[in-house]
Amino acid sequence: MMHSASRTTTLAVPRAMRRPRDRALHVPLVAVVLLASIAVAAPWLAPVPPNQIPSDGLITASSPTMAHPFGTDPLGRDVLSRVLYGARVSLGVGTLSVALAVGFGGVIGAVAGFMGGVVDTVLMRLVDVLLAIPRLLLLLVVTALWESLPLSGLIVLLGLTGWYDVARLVRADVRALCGRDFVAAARAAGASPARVLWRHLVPHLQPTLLVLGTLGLANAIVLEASLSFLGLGVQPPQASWGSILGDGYVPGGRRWWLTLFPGIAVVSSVLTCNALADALRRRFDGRQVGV
Amino acid sequence: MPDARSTGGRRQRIIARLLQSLVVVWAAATLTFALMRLAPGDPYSRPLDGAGLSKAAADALRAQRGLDQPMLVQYVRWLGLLARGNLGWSTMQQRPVAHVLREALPRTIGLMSLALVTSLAAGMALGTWQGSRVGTVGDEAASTVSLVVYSLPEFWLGMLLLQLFAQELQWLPAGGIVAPTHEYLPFGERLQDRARHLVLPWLTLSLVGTALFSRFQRASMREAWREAHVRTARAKGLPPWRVRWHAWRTALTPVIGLAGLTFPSLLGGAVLVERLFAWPGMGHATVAAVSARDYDLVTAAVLLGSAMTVVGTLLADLLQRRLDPRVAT
Repeated sequence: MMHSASRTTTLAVPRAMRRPRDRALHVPLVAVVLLASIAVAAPWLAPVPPNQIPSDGLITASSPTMAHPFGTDPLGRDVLSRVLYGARVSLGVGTLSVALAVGFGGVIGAVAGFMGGVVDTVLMRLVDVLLAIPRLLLLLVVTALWESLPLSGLIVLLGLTGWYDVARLVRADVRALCGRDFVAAARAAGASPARVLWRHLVPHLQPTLLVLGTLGLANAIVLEASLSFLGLGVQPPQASWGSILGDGYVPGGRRWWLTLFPGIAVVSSVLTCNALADALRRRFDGRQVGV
Repeated sequence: MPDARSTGGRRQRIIARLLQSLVVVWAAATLTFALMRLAPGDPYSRPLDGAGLSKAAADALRAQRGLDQPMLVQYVRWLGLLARGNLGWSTMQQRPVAHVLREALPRTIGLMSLALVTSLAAGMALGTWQGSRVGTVGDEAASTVSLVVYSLPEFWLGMLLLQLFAQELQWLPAGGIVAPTHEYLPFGERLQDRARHLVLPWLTLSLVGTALFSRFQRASMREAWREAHVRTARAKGLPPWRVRWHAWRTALTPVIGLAGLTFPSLLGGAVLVERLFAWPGMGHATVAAVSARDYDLVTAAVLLGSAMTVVGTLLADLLQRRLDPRVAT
């Protein structure tokens, strides 16, 4: 994509971050804290254990009641409890895989941009190849081939398929920064390449990494939900928002509560991430990072 | 790619890009080839259609398809066939992969391109409208709505639409391409039948796509207003609609780039929507093929996906160069 046009503006941001009263930024930040607390506090918030099948024989999906505000799934499990516990899996898998993707992509991109030459060419051609494979298709193939993938496998898989954009944009940033005077000054002052990279370049990558990480989280949450919906993500009886959607979905089933509540959980997290990414982008001088 | 500029000549550049694209597609397909064979199981290790195979029968079938050969031998053979345009044999559907594709691909491409054209048109219209009045109440409202729609996972939106319009209201069919009675309908009703089956999957894909493109169009319009030539146009005292045209024209370049990138993701995104609406296209075929370890069909699907990615990017790139002489990436 074309970033060159807007690249001329200053990349340093920290002062701008401290501007007070930006509702567009604060509302999603509060939502992030809220969602994270729900995930952490799930055991105390959930009325019953998420995988508990009722012992009194009511093993059927029933619409919301006072006892089960979100209804029950086909196995009679409480949907509210499953959605609360599902937050741990959905947000946890998303966050960890994005951390992996941003870390990996950041290192690859920084190395490629900083070293240039053959290293750059080889790494970027590799990224070209990997980018050409549609991500969902690749995930689908791998998760279906290795059945009963553990949760850690899912995290690694999402991480390993999520770093390409990070690498490309970080590389572009690093290359643009390398031509700036402060880098030349640092070099002239005798700083080692590692020091230039770490002390002088990496701090400037903050905006790109933050925005890409936030967008990546939105993506990872949707992908995990999609895979689990298809029964290829988390393994039963584990609850994730996608697996609750999948467990409850029967064509013509007319069980709206099994679609509505876990779906709202997914949408609110994705919406939070996207709103946060928008606000961060605006903070960082309106640069278009990511799509 | 700075080297593209130095070689000079448009034709040479295009040829270089095409060769590069070919390498990318080959590498992606090779990766899939290896992935499929490294995974546990093969097409004959699990019961087909619930009927188990004896070990001897499975071995005989493997020998027949050359699956008992070393991986390298299989790879060279597969590559040789591919070079001659032979995509292989679908072990699941018991017919050439090309036949499967000929049937499934048009259904996917048809649905997807219809959705892409709709999203592009509606999204660009909305984004342009917003981009000319950034900060007004109308713009803010539209931005909020498109942010929410953009955040809806396609399959979930599809589930909602399906439950509302097909199950509760029963206005539209719940899935498939045509009704079972399609063959017996008169021509006019057949068209109507097809259209009615198309509405829900099309709407699902188009709504999210429209939000995507309108957001992007608005953002790039906003950026275009800051450009020197747009400011000049305004300073010259041109009427507002002509200034807006200048900005729109500038904003077009990144939007085309996004469209080029979105085109291939249609194939991947198709999987869930097709499954939801029982739309027998590529996504449907691929999911079934993966679990049946249908090596050639899966490899062909990924090959196709990466080819579309490369072609989409290439087309967008060429178009961008035509429209905007400043593009020199």
